[in-house]
Amino acid sequence: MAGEQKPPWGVVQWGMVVDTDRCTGCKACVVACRSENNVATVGAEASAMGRIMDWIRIERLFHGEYPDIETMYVPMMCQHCGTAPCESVCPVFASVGTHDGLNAQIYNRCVGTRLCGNNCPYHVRMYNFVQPKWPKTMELLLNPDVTVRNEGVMEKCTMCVQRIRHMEHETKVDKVVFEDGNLRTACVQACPTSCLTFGDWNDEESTVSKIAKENSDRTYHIGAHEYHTAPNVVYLRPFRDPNALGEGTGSKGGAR
Amino acid sequence: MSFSRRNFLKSGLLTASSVALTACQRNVEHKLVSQYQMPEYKLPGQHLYWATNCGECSGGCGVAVKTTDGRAIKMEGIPEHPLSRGRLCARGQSGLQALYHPDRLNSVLGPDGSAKNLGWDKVLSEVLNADSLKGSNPIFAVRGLKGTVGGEIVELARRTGGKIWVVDYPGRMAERQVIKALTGKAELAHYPLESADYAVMFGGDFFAQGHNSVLANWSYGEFRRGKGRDRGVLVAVNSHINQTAACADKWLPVRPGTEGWVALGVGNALAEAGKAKGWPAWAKAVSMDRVTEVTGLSANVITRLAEKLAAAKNPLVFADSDAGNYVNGVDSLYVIHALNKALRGSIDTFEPENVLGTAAVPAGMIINTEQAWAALNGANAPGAMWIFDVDLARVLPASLKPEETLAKAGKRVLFSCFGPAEEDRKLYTDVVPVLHWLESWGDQRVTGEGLEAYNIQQPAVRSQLNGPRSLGDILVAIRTKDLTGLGVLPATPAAGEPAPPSKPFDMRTVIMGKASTEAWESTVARGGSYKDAGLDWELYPNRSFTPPRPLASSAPLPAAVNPYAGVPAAQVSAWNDKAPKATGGDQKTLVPFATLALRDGSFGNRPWMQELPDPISTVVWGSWVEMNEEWAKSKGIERHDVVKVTVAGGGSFEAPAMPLPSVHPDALAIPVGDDRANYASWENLNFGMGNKVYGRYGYTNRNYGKRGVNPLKSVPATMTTGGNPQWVGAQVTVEKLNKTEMITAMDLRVFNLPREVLPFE
Repeated sequence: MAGEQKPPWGVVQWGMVVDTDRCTGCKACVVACRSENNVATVGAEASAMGRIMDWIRIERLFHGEYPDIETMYVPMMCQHCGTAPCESVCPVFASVGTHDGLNAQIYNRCVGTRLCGNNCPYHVRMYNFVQPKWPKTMELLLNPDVTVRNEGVMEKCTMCVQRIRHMEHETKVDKVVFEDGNLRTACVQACPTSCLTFGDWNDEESTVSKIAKENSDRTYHIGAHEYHTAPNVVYLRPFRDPNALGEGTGSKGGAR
Repeated sequence: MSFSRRNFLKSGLLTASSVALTACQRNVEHKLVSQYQMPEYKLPGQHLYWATNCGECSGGCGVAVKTTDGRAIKMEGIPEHPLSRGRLCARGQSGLQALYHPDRLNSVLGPDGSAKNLGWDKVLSEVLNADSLKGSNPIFAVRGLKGTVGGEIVELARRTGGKIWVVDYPGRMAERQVIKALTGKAELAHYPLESADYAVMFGGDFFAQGHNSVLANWSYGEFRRGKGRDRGVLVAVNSHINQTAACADKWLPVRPGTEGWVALGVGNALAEAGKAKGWPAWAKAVSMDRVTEVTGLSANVITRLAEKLAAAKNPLVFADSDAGNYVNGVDSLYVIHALNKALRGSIDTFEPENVLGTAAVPAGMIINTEQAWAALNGANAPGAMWIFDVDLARVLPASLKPEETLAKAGKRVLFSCFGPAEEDRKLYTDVVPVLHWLESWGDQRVTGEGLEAYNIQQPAVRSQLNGPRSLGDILVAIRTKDLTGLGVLPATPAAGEPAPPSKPFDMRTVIMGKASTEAWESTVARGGSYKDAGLDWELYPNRSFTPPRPLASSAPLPAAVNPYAGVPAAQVSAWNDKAPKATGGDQKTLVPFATLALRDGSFGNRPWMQELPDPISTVVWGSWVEMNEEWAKSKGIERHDVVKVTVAGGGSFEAPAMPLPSVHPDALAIPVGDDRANYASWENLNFGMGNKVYGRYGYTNRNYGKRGVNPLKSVPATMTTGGNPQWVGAQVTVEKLNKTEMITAMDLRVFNLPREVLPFE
């Protein structure tokens, strides 16, 4: 598919940089995503069964033992893999790669086999075990640009594809000149610490490319070696200063 | 674009119940509009942004509300705004769920909770009769005072001889008193983390509960990886890891309530080396041995901390107001801020709660909980109490007997978007419905170095309800006796009486005097008047929807009146050596903490917030008790085991245990804010799982027959030196009960990436 459909600004590969050293775990991204993408809330028991629907979450990791504890946050969303394990197992081609580097879920093809969720090493595919519901009045705040998924359908992060398509449309119809940074996903837009950055990997001048180049000593693909997934999301390793209290006082220290 | 910028700007005057939505000028009464020309707010598929001022906390963020077909669908920060910088926190964004909440109050409620079908003229004469308040020592309870509406409350108190009771959790008043003692200004501390290179946190949760959490988080991003600077180093001193402490390079666990002691030790070490200018002499009387004994930290660590701070080019120490909730909290706050002053030479201040349109607030008008309680129990008990959206039942300990004591005030009127929970109805005699902040007008003046801003809160949507009115309109109607703003037609004046002014309250005049229409419109369109934050405007996404650039230069900022200027400065002239009791064994110190999602509990009615995993425990929906993992193991307590927590001098409660490695063995950390049964007005919304998801205050978990707990209710009736209930630091015992309750933590079920693939090993 690549190269066949050329957006006005050329062939793109959308992706993200996550600088985990900036993340404070404030979860502005989580709520922004729910608001933008009509992500349902499921309640306590369903949450306890691991059926929470968030497309983005912030993992909390403890490192070490009391009292030498280090804590870190890792924002986790669909990695939009280049060789996505979810795509190869879908019997109905509901999970497909797009021309611009995204991993798309075609909801009306989905028959709910949940094979994609099983095969995803990142646990970022969420299955609608029940029909999502909102109170009548709260339906007013659903985003009309994004569909509400049905019971029996797998859903996941789209990198706010509605915003991408809108921008494509604008460059074609309204002759708006696309510039890097004009287009941001909901989570990136809300992030107060600039931990998340969205952009085009094919553009060497894009912010994501620049950040990855400037921080090449910290870049990391989660699970790239283990799963061979070629993700479009690049992480920058967190860092905990081993000399925060002077030489050799840190628990373990180092960029891990 | 199909709509012109100029038309967009004509957001109209913020009169009465009007909503600034249409392209038509509001003051032109007869304007023919072709039926084929749709009002802008109904352009199909076209989102419109309305700039306004976030009302979820008093932080003062400028927000752009995305609307479509006249309904608000998303909230984003205004990129130019110096406080929000285009970003917005989780709680701010959740304001939409309160706006469209099914339990919004639509009519006046009587004492028995039944709806009274009163017109607004009757409401004003029967329920809100301000004339009858005069001479009755009324109390007006507020969470905070801001802008023109805050000024109206001050004026109301002035006219009726009343007091304003500031019910703030975590207590900001104590912090203002401490900063006043150190700088002369009764303002909050501002921590410029973005320019610091070595920072130490002494208690509190700056990123989650800071005075403006968006700004706090932004400054952390710059602190760590800002362009053209070295990475800043953060050390956290705290009794349990919270959202902020988790970000630190090094966490130093200390006994609960002794964060101030560590600051004292550090300050003494610095003073000894001659590196703490103006460090109070009385502090030096406390020996390092005493500090290490109380805190549990070694002298070596404290000295190293002092050395690091002294060596830093731009050191910073900070503590959120929460650190002041211990019995000696004011002393702790004082020492921490004095250390900051000694290190930096000065303290940066920030005040988001200034009032407008009123003269200076007299000393003594603003009171704290201790004074309010004294007034209620005194001989001249107030004849009435008006409560402006404060959930008194939530923050007052049961040991203070809130129901009995408040009943002494006679008429207690609650102004709120929501009715009180069933069990709290007795606290109020009447409930008056007010509009949500996204539907009503207001403003806010923020002061502080580099943070000067004036925000205008314009209605972003028209209310779906016809009952409520905006609080500002109600207060203006009470003052002017002109009810046109409330949608009541003016009465014909009796013979000999002057007709009421036809335009009693024109916000534009109040705010900008005789500024040109163009200046007014551009100011409203960008959500107020402020210096641009130096951000690239073009960074805003979907820029065809962006609010327009200002037409004229920013309007001058209105003069701010700090309502807290008259509060007495904290009197700390000697170190209070009343150390928190060294607990051991099964005795613990209670550390209730405000969570990221629910804060004091006022966000508990929003499913987005209830289902937002806690940053550290990753729990959603319900309460848990954080305790030290090793200690729990020694007692055979595991996750999901219910423990009974008995507070010395207070109550007791039961909640499931959550052993974590991030808690000091002496501390028992419990989130506040989730203690209500289900008061949902509709019953059928569940997910086939048996639990209801929405409701006034969350949910009930019928399978387990349990609900959340609010530890603030169980603390003893002691007041801190800051005049608030002693929310933190009570002595408790923990007992394992022979039952379990499911904790809905995400760390094992959902957050389950194998460690070896993550970039930390």
